[in-house]
Amino acid sequence: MKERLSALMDEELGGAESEGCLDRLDRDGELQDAWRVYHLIGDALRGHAGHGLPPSFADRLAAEPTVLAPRRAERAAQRNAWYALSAAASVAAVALVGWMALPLFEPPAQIASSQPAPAQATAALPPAVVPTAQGVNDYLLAHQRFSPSSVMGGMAPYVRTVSEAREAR
Amino acid sequence: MRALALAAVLAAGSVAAVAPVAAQQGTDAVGWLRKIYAATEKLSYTGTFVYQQGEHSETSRLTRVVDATGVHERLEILDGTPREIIRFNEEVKCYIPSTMTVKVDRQMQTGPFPAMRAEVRDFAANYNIRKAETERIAGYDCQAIVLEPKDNLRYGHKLWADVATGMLVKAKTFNERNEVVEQFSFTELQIGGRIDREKVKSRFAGKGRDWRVEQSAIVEADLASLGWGLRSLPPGYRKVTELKRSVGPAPDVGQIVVSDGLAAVSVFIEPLGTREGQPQVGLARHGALNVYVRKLENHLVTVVGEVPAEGVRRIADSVEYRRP
Repeated sequence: MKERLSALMDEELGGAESEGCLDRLDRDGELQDAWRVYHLIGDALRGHAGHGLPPSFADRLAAEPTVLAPRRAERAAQRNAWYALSAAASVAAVALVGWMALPLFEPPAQIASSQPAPAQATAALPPAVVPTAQGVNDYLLAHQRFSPSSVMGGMAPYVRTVSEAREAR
Repeated sequence: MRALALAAVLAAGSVAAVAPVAAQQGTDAVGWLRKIYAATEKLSYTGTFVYQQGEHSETSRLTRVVDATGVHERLEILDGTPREIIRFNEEVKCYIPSTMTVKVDRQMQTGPFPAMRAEVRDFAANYNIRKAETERIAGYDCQAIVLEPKDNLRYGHKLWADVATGMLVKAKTFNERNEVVEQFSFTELQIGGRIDREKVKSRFAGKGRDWRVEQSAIVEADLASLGWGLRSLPPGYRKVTELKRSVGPAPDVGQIVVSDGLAAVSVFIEPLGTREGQPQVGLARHGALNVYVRKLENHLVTVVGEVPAEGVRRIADSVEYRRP
């Protein structure tokens, strides 16, 4: 997993895979630590260590000659955005557990960690089948009235929004 | 060989110049769709229907009365825990007794949603439409209409409409493997005639003050001015409207609705952390509805639509944020 994290940092992962990785990151405190350490290392290598370091240490580090000049200097802005995202996500992970009575999207890891598949292949994959909790029903209800099928079927399609169906496989 | 001939006929149906006869039939089928739309707007009816998805089926009673004051509808789920949806014109109230919650969804505009105004020409570009057999359903002679999607970004549909009135009596939705994803079917139905007004009244309304009311508070909004937009929509889909609203406990959710004329997809955008608990990214399915959740720029993007997984995923991927 840590290799993948490292690959993620280097932006060597595909969309789906990086999503999966970020998702793991959200839930795994150890990975979050590793993520921060990788960034510290990366920052240090680029000569602008900042986040989370005591100022004195950061100063000393900054005074050290730069050993490597990584090719992705121009991506610094994007990297920082990611860092912010992961930090926010880890806070969320700590503070907010058990959103709803039922897990909304049952096997997220499974979906999220799927290989970066080409679009056609993705279409062929059976979607993860999940129970529908109240939280999802809120979105369904909010969506339903905009559905042209509601005009053809009148209120009938609204049963979806309050359905107790639990698909399982 | 037969399959090939069939494919040729189907293809011809979509290209008017190639086979006038098939094209004629297509026009007729489109006429039927118009008839269904018109019927749904003006008819009063009451009946019992079964909603089926996968192994699961649920029976509901649906009554609709159109009078001088407008449209009154009541949908009552008869299986499992009682649930009820009441509509009076543009106001939809969803009663969930198990949590003593009533969710009120009120639209700001009057009249039917513009995109739902049978933009038949619109979706003829995305579906091959043809008339199929006639069949008797719930005591009515019905005409079947088939809508075949031209790509994997939408589902196929088969609709059965009452020959006399155009009332939709049965509807099936198919995925790309031609499997039924969900089905609505009346088992008993009265179209027109005397319908007891009691049938459109909520059995929960006015019973005590313990109900928690959740208002949706919908207002039109310019999400682009906040930096949110859809970069490149999948073919055949266009943006229909965008709003700000509450969704359940989240007060400030952006909603962008896109449609291909028949299927609609809603994109919900809300700041991370407004909901309790850990939002989970990924894909979920509920009958014909697919839901795809991703995080973007500290926001949660939830895409919901009665389109295949690939459709919601592509639309979710098209969401972008640009600092305004």
